[in-house]
Amino acid sequence: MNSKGKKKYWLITVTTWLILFVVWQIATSFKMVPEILLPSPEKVVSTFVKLSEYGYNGIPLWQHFLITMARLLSAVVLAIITAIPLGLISGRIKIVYSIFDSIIQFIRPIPPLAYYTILILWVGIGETSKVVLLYLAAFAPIYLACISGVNRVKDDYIKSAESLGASSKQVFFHVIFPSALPDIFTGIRTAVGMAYTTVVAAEMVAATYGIGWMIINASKYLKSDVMFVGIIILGITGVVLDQILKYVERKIVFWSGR
Amino acid sequence: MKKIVRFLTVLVVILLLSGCTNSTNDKKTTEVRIGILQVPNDVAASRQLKYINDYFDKENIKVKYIIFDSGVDANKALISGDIDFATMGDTNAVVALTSKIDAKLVWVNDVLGNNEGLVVRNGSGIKNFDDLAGQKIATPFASTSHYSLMMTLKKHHLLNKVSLLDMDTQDIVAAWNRGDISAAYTWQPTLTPMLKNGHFLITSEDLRNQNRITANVTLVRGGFERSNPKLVSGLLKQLNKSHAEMQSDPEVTIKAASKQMDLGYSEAKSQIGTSKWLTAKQMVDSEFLSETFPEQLYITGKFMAQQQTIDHAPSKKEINDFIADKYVNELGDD
Repeated sequence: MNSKGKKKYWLITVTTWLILFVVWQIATSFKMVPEILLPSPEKVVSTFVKLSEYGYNGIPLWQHFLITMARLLSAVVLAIITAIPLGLISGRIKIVYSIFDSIIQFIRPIPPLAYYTILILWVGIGETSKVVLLYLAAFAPIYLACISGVNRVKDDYIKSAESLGASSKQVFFHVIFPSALPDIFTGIRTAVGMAYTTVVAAEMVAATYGIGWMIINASKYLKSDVMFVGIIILGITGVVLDQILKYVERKIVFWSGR
Repeated sequence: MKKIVRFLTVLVVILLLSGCTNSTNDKKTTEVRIGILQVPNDVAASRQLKYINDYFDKENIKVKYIIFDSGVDANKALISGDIDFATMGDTNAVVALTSKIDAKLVWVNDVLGNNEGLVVRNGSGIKNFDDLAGQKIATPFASTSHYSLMMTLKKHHLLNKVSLLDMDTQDIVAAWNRGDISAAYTWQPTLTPMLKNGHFLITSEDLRNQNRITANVTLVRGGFERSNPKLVSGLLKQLNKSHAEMQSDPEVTIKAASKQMDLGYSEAKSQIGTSKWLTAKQMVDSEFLSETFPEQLYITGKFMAQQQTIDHAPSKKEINDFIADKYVNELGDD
């Protein structure tokens, strides 16, 4: 695509957002919708300022944000540490694959909320249950990506390495792992997305802080302005997170896609 | 670009339409939808005794009951227009009032007694209020229990010394059974299993005696009330009947309520506990809806605004506009 075409499409995106914003502004300033269903943009902005200044429920807004990110990050890191080795080994060794794959395939499609109540009974209402829930959501995408990454390594590469006298350990770390890396990164990005969509659910039960909790709590008092602030924060953070991961991916697996 | 414009036009039209439907009154009513709490109260009794259904049958109207765990979701259903009546704790009514939901308070189902309270686990070492410091206490946020708990904590200067957990009633029981919490302010029927290995530190009856009244109330959706005032009176008359019977012949009423809730008689009796079912006449005579209760709502609103749970404390005028006491006055004068 030439740069002129790129610019045109970018312009359409910006226009769409502008129009959405104008419709929002018009709908609220002419009171076409009750404020409780759709607070005005000014109200949302002033609520954001107020929240940043005084916090929500006695806790500063950035703390709510940080705790949510901490939960997300620890779950994703945990998933990376466990799912990558297991996935790579499953991709290489049939026995390991047969043991784990069906279990993971079974858990993967279940909506997290369905087993959340059981998780709470098992590990309690503290941070553990929240992180475990996000961990379960993040695990499968990385695991599956690793398997498909390993399977896609060309046999020729492995054979040539072996014929040059590489040990199986060397083959694994110098041939298989780097070849699977682009897939692993795609897996991590999907995993962050999955965990991220579960974050509000994780903070639904017995939490006392977190952006997800703030949204749920605000809904109990019908504060739609706070809910909007929370949702917009989550939306922007989601996009930023994905962009960061994309950047890291480009830096580390610079050869991918070429 | 054309497509975007078309999409936006549709969006605007939808917004306009939804704006209209929300502001106009309802057309001919063929069905009444009542949001109920899962408790043996006056609605349960008069439903079991067929008072409600017989009345609406005569008017050729179908009745549909929808269960809510607390007033939080009932409020959302009132906004979206999915229910016409909703029974809820008065704190949720204050939330409805301050967030300007088109609804009116028309009835006080029961003034809470020992059917709500703060339970602590036996052997947890919590003997008085000061022992609560550093403990986890669970309660459903925005409920009357939450409010009563906050008032109690404030009185004993414990507000920032405990960690409060927001849970639904069934989650509270689960957490209690697991041993995650050793204190919770909640209501029946969840209190019964917890009292097996716990005891009350304070109940809403004690608070009532200290002039901090909490109550379950019924709200009616504004659109419904404006077009069907007769049906509102009609329903309240049935509820009032069960209030009168509760005082003259409690056995029949409790039995009916227990049957409706699938409970044993003694279970229902203890769940109702010392909650008070005032008749319309008693409310009128004691100026309950015109003086006592608005004052309590005012105190509640002020407290909730201080806690920043609602964005402003409702004024006395707002509260008086919110309470449509003409229905009770009508009934009380009969």
